[in-house]
Amino acid sequence: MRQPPEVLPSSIPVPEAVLRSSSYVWYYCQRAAHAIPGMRYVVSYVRKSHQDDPYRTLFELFLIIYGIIYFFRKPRKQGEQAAPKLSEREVEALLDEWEPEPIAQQNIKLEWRAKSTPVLMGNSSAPTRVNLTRDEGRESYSDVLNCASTSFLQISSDPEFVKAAKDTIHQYGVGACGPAGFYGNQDVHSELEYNLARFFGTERAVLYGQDFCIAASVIPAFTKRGDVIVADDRVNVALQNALQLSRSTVYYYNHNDMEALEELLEQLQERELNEKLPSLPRKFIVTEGLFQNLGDIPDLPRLVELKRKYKYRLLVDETFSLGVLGANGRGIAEYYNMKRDASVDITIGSLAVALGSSGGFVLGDNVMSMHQRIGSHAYTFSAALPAFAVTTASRVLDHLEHDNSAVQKLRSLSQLMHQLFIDDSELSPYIEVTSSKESSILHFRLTDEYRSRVFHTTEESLFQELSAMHAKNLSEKYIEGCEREEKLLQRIVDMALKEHKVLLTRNTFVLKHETLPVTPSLKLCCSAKMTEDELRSACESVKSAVLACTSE
Amino acid sequence: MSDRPQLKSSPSGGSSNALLEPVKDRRRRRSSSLISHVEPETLEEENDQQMPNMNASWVDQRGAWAVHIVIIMLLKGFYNLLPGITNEWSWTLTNTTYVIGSYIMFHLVKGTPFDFNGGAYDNLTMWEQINDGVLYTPARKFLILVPIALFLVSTHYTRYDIQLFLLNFSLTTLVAVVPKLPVTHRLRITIPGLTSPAQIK
Repeated sequence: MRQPPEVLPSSIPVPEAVLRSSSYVWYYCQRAAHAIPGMRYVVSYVRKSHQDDPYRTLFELFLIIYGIIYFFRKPRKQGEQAAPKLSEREVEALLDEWEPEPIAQQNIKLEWRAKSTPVLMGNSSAPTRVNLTRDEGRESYSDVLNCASTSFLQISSDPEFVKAAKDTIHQYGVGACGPAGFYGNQDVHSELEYNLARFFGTERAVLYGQDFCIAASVIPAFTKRGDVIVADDRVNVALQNALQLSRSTVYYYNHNDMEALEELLEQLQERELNEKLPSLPRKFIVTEGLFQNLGDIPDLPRLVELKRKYKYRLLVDETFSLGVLGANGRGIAEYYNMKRDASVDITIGSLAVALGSSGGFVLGDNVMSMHQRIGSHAYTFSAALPAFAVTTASRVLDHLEHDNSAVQKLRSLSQLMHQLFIDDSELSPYIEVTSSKESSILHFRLTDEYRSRVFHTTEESLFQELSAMHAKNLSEKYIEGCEREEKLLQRIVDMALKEHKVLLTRNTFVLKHETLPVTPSLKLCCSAKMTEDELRSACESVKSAVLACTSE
Repeated sequence: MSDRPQLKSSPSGGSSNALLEPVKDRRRRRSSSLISHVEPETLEEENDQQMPNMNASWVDQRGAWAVHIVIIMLLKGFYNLLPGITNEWSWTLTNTTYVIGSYIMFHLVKGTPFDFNGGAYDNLTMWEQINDGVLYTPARKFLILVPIALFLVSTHYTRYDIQLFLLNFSLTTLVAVVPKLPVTHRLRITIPGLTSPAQIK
């Protein structure tokens, strides 16, 4: 029996056959190697590194071979299946079978909405009166009382404000059409940001070009997967989009139910303590100052208490409450006599509603604002406001600071409007008012009892149907009961317009964009320029229209 | 019926069941399973990954490849300068440092330092992020061949020493080559008390 080479430890037995065959292989490999030019150097390297240790060389060889195998593999995705191989005939057959859908579908069922959309025409005699046409000019109405406008304070329609806007256009043009950081911001923009921050009492404000997309831009700028958002389950569609884009885990609490909120926060805290995550998630409570779909006001002091207790940040969408709530129109914080910078962390506001200009803004502390300037998509990528919208808003703020008569007048009108509807016992079997008395929009909808009697639906059944469609990923959502209810409400709007020359509006929403419960309702808006008598008679005419249509 | 509020999942929770709790762990996991795979991306995650991933895109560049060689040379120079270090040990230390450093960079740290993807990469290591997860790409071939080549060079210069050889070999295979194999792609090994739970739930 041949002894193995001495370098091998004798404790490891090596079979004779292996030694012999490897010796043969090695011998012939050597002969072959000498035939290739330059192989001498490779052989000398291998001999040197071999160091008479075959195990070592074996390990090295194994690594080298694996490296070579890896090098020659073709790129592919893990677990990727090769596409099925189809013959040309099969491909042809598949193409013949395919019938493309039309790119734009005409939906006859929904056409009545377009036909009932009013189009305002030119100047009218008074700021509260409008001339309008509908159905592509087939119907026209003049001198109609506008109870559908959300420009509640009507300050910016004063001649002196209009003149100021014109002057700004002469001086600044109509804007750079660029994003804020790309020539979009002019001196007036910074000035308005300072004015907004001073007026609402925060460290800083950030100006946006469009109010609807603010929420969808600000919330995702601060959140990502793994963060936690607790939101009211009746927030508007802008916030719904924002919550979806936030990619965070979203929990909903029952509308304005602070007990439910606290219980939910408690549960979440318990769970977080059990989980022991490597790092803390960001946590937000999201709600509205004055709900767009219902018109009621959340309990801010309680919210602030809860957010402090459970260490959340509070985001309030004040699109409809700034300029309306509070003695000077400073929004929900002033309404509850709280300091904004100490209670609300992020405020979303609009210049396009009560302030009567265009665009929107976010109020908050310095760090939060600076982050938005580079991290918030709508700020960094959308065109900034034109200068005239900015100067108009600045002047309106100045005006509000010195003279809160418009806000006070608006408040008294709102209360009168609500009183007229709530006190009317004749209406109560048919409609219910959901908005708070402070809201300058009166929200009313059919009572649950009436709805289930006439349309055989309830709020819950509508939402269930909607979520079922959502789960099936249907792009066109159509719910018969909801549609019939909307048509009834539209009849009230039509009657008020045709017979009493009062323009009110349905609360318009697009079913396919709604992910939360939504109920058809009507909105009656008052504005500071209306007289009490005007509003009183408008309310009476709307009431008579409601009674006429609901008791059909 | 308890009057506790029901936990409702987000519209983006990926679940069609409105009353389901949010998905807890994105990793597929049985009870007490130590080895698991990261779940394939949902449509929403794939959508968020469409934004350029600046954390991983530079790995493809030739300059980034050259830097590997430069770093190895600098490491070798540094260890040569240390007093009392023989050439054998200097090569071994170079190999060790490179292999462990690249492990931390490519296989230990998860997610991206940037905020553009809404956290869609937060469960993936850098190795899993590069080339959008495609295997056998040129960058991956380069990155797996560098530690192999470095091992061959360093073991060549450590000559006879069986201990240094074993150290170099086990480090290279276990720390540099095995984590890069297609078999271990998106594989997670949970060691109780040592590995931390995933951040994204």
